[in-house]
Amino acid sequence: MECHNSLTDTPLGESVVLPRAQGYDYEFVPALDPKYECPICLLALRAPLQTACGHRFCKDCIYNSLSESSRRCPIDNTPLKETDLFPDSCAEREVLQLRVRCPNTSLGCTQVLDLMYIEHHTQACSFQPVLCPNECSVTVLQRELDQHLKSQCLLRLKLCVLCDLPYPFNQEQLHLATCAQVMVSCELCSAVVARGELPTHRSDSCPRVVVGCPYAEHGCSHKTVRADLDAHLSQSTQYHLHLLSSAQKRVTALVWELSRSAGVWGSPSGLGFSRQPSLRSQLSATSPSPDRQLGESSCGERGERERGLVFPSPLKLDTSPKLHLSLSQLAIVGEGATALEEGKGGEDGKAGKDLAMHPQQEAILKDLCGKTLEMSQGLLQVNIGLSNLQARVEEVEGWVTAEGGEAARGRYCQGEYVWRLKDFPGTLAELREKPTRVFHSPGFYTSPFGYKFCLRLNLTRNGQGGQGGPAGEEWLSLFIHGMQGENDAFLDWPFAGVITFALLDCSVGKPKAHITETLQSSPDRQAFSRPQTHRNPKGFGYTEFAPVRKVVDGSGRAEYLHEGTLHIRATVKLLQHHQGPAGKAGCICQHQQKAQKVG
Amino acid sequence: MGGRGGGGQSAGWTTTLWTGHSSTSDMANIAIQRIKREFKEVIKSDEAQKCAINVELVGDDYRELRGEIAGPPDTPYEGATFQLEIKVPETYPFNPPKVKFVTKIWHPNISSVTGAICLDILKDQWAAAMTLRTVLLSLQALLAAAEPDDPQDAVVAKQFKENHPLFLETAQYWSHVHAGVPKGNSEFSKKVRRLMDMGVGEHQALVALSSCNWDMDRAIEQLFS
Repeated sequence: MECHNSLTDTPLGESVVLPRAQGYDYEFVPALDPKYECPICLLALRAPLQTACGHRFCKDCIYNSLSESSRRCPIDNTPLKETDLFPDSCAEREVLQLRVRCPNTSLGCTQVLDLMYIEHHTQACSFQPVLCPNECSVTVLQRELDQHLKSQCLLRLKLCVLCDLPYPFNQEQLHLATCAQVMVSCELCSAVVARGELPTHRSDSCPRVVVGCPYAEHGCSHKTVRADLDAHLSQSTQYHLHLLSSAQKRVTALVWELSRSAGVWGSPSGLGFSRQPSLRSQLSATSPSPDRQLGESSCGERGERERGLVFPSPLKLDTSPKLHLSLSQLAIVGEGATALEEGKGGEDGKAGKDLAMHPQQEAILKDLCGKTLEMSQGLLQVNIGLSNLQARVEEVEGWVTAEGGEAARGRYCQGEYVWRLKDFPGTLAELREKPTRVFHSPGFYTSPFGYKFCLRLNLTRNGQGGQGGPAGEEWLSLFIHGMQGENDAFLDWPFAGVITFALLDCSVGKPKAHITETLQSSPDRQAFSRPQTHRNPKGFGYTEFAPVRKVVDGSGRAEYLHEGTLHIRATVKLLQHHQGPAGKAGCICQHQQKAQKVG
Repeated sequence: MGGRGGGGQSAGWTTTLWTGHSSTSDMANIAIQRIKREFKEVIKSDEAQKCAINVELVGDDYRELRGEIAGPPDTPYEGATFQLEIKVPETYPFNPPKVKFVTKIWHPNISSVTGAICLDILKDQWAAAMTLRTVLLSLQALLAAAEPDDPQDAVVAKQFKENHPLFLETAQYWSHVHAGVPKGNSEFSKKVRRLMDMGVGEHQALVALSSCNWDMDRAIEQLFS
């Protein structure tokens, strides 16, 4: 018997016993030489290993032995470790070349072949027993399977001669008991119909089925077998006419109520519409229109409701309930009109004659439809307006969020803030055009609960041509301004700290040449006292911080203008308060420029 | 080890269609498959042909077998046939089968009461390469060559060492009483019958007399004190 277990290399010492492949169990021709027999499984060696003491075993058998019993050789009991086992490829090759009989010999297969081909052969062997795929629990030889499936299997599918549907061969009676094409007699009327047609027969034609009067929706509660329905209709004509008349009165009242709630007309009788020749033609002319309008309006309304969840509109609250009332009432009117039309057809024109007595109602209906159309269009326009408004709100919200992000950045920058001046060429042009123009950065904090500052940038033209450079040279002026912050109440004033300005060099691959200036706060400067307005008008910084020329062209080595954006960094570090005499604090100038107080 | 036939034989319907098993019973399956092959090996062996050893099924699941060995020639067991109970553990062949004598026997390494065997290969010297056939042949060899220094039954071992001729007589008489040997010591028979006349069971009388070196007085004292 062949075990089809995988030859996996299972680690030893596992508590779970995995399936192991034993040796090859075939009839060898000639009989298997004992030297190729595994002493553990007593079968032909499969993937043999040889021990250091010179004994051969199937790989899985010896691993099994080592994990299941004492770690000794199963033949001579000498101690044995995994490292004492070596693949015996020579023995494996010799075993695989031994001749064996096909396991199906007793079933008729006469094949004798090399062991290495036997598994391949048995998969294809025509004498291999296989289980019927129909799960009829019969086992047949592979070569007989087709015939079994074709003519013997009890579960083979057979097509029903009546309904063409398949059923298992041994379940013919069961199928016939449910086949839709088997003729059966109706239990009520004894008519013979196909089983599948029985429901249709019952609902449409069986004369013995009890049905309700077609005027049930108008109030006739009469029920009878279908065969007697005609008699009822002819006997109760007067009653049915009465019901229809009542229904029409209700419709009239409803239309009146509708027109009043719409606030359009006074008495319908005062409108003076011309009488219409026939209700039927009138309805056929008008009814498609309100139907379509109803569809559009409800769609529009639904869409509006969805948007309304995001952005409720006061306008909608004004208009929508009224319109909604009108639409629902119109729907009722539409139903009533349909019912009237049916009644008219059913009563062979008698009802038409009756209804023609209210021509002004037809006219009201028509006008009402027109009015609804107008209102729907108006509603659509309002919706479009709302959509536009909503888009703008979203845009504004976007700005707010962006500003919020900037605010958070400033709040949590820990005193090191980078001011990104986008489109600096545009900013410069504006500064040149208006000499008084200044730009302020967003506020930033020295710490989330520290001082709030902002930066200020403007343009200064050197009139004297002094130490800063030639006359007429343009300078960027950079100042820091205190701002009113949330923490001012508990902070120490005046502010004491060191502030470092840096115009950042964004060049790549070169040593950074930031323009850096450091200054120290001075307690007697108003610029460092507690701000009394949103932004302290007094600032502290450099009127001549950096020449515009240098900033714009970067002196050929630095790149201060990166994709049009100027990056200015301010680093504010607090000093321990009251550390030294007030007069000692001053500005530290690394370049020749002077720190100046600016009013 | 030699002389074992080829393991293969033509597969029948059931075994051919048997494709797998759960891992929990995997060991048991290895054990059963191996025992089946060993069973055939014993049946086909030369020793079985000479009626020296035999093995039969008890039930149909190969978990318990009935072994049979012939007493070796030139021993007090000559002409006797001993039945053995063989229980196959699920971990077979990685653990030894549990074997004991069903037939009563007078032997230093076999309990005269329970039939338990003291033999190293059935204990710590078991090796997976051993089979039913080698176990049965080893037991046969044990009958021919007792190991009184590693006894299972101390009374028998004492007699074996101190009064060997009496041991041989006693063992032969046990073979006669229990294991189908036609002739036995007539003196022993008389003594047993006398005890039986006193209302003692035959085997009880045999055990008492054998233990007391066939001294009638001591046996009576042992039985009735």
